[in-house]
Amino acid sequence: MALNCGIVVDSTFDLPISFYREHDIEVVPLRVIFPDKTTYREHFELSAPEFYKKLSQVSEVPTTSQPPVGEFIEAYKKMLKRYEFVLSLHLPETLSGTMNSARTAAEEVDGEIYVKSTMSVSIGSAQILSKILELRDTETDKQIFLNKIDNLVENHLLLGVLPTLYYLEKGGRIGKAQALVGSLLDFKPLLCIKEGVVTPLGRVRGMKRAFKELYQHILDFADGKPVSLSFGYGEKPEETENFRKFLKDTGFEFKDAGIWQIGPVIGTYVGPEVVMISVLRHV
Amino acid sequence: MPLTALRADSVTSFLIRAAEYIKLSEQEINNLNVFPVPDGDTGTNMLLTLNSVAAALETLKTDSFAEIAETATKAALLGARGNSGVILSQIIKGFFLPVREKSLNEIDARTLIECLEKARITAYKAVKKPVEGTMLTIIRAAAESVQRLKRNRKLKLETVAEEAFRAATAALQKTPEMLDILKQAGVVDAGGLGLVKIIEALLDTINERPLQESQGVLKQSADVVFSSIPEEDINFTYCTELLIKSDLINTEAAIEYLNQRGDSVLVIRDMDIVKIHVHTDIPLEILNHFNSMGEIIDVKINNMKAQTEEANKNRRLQVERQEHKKDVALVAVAQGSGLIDIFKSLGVDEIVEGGQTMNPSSSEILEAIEKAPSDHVLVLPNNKNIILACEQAASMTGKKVEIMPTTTIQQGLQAVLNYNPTRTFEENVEAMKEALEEVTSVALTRAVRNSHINGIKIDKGDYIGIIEGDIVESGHNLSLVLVKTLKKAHADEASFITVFTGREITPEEQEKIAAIIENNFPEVDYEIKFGGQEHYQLLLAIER
Repeated sequence: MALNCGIVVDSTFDLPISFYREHDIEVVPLRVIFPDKTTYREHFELSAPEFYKKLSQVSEVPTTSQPPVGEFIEAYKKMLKRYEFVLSLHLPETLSGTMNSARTAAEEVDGEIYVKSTMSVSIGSAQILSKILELRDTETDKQIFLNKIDNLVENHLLLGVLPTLYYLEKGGRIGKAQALVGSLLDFKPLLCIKEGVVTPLGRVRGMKRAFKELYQHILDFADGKPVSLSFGYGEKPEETENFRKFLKDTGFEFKDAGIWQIGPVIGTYVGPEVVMISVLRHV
Repeated sequence: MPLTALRADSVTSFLIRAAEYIKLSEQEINNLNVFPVPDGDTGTNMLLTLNSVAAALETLKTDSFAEIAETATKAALLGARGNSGVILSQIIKGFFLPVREKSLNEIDARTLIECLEKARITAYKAVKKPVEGTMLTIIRAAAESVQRLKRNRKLKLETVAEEAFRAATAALQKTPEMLDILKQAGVVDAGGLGLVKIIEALLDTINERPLQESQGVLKQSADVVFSSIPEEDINFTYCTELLIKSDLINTEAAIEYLNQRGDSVLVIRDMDIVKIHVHTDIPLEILNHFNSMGEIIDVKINNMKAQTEEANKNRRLQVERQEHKKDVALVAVAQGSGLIDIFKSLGVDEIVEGGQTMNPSSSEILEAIEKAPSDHVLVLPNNKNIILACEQAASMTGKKVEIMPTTTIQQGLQAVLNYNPTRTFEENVEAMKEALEEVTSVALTRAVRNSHINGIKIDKGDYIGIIEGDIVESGHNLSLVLVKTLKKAHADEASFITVFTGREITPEEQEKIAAIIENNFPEVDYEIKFGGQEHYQLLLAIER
């Protein structure tokens, strides 16, 4: 018998609302706050295209805010009516207080709730989630199911090329990439999320080299095992499409999990020109 | 008269006042916010959380303390925003636990001690890995310090609140010592300051201090920002505070008297107690003056200059130690103001000035190695004639030194770009050496005499194109020589071209060079920067 597990996520998974509906997943949205103090529940009140358009019209960078505890409480109560237990998945607590809100809410609600982090964001979290949905249907033992989720997280890598570190720095999420700030030469920083912290992999001159380096990092991480990749973009998909094509031209074999737009909250930190790649290694 | 217990009405005004105090300090708290992430929203989050409480209480028409406790707890939780809001909601929840558990209808002095203790316990439980130097430290200091008052038989409510406020303020000052990131930023903890304001609201509610008057106190406590005061900004040496029991002191006269003898004057009367705060150079004269008008209850005189100097000294030491903590330091030989700035901006710690015609001495290189803020030093000679001097310098230091075999400035930059502070020394050496093979160094200069080299006839004053030290082109037209040389260097297959212009190249010429590259190599990304080097009109790095 498949597991009777309800799933709650935050909005930084950047999946279409219809996807959540289809899989009966509750979404608790983070907020984007523009300098004029207008606040939007991302994806519900502000779509990604609307966000990037607005972003280009303001001079100051927006801020973001974790969801209130109350909304998690509501989501948990709702799910516990229909499911035996709840799995609550979120971006790392090193990047946001969302995990804290979720844990506080879980304490308040009677019922079995597991609050976990995907240790990733956006397309990365989404890729992990789709695997978890498969596991939910095939697994019968709860403990094995939870262990397998930890395993998924360990076999995942989120990579990005950020043409500018401006947004990451302004938003206070620059992490170890701080060392790359302030250069007089223009370069493309290659970053990944390691143990929840934005970590530099290198800095290269020009997009062509960035592609080669990204490819090398993907090869190193794959370590000869089969991988699936999903691709993320900010405002426009062209550069990310270029990378996908570049990768296919190298003859590298991978399962293509599609190309997706990065949502408002994560977009606030990576900026409109990001090329993001999520790698899931199948072991 | 101060309150003897918090009842339904006063506890409501406490929470509304708390929201009011946070609102007044919202921006100040936001500006302090560096932990856990410096996103400057702590004040806003705390305010939103308390506003939710205030709004719920304002619409609630009840005399039932239990109902108020219930409503406040719930509203705080539901309205909690941000980490600081979540922790605050737990503090509020804990604070009201004794009331809810025992169905009390008031909080007297002894219950207040218990409320603070429960607030501490709940707050710590809310966080998976409690970090000291934050709001948690403040609530702990307040809760723990009031414990000793339990023995006091005729314990007054205001005594407990005063002690909690004193301990919270003292703990706030210590937060930079507990959390490195605060120390580096030179601030106290943002959430901590917010919590101190809330405890201040509690104290002021109990003392029935009118809201308007207490704003003066609030303004004064804004001084708690740690050590960011430049020494020269302090006009007077002593911060002097007096608490006097007197009916004779006229507040306005006292302010006038003090303004003539110092600044930051504050005089607050509460019944027959007068609180005086002034920055002055003559604290004893002021003390004598007021001593004649009443009974002095408390005196506090701090030497602010000494405090600031001490704090600044500590900060300097801290910064120096931080720098020494670097795992690996970089030393590069470079010449030309533009190139030197570029190297520094990429993270090179020490520059030894020199190059083609001015090779630095071993002792100059040694000096830079010794100065570099790490025991592991990577040296970039950037010229083949300087490698030997670097090796000599390396043999004279006790530090672990690795000489990168960079023979050109272009290679040096390529090596620095491939330096990654999150990797180990050995990993960096390997990655940087590997990267050297990916760059072709091209230079453009002018011939100083007539000659014949590699079958190329060169006239004095001609431009000559050089690839990896070999002359490959010459001619009197810069653009022509440049394009031919670049083609021989396979620039059309490059992923990136970086151009450093020499000291004599004008901005107009620079634009011309950009146009040449764009027209001849339209597929290639490039960047032109002022290098400021001597002798070479252009230095170009062709990356594969």
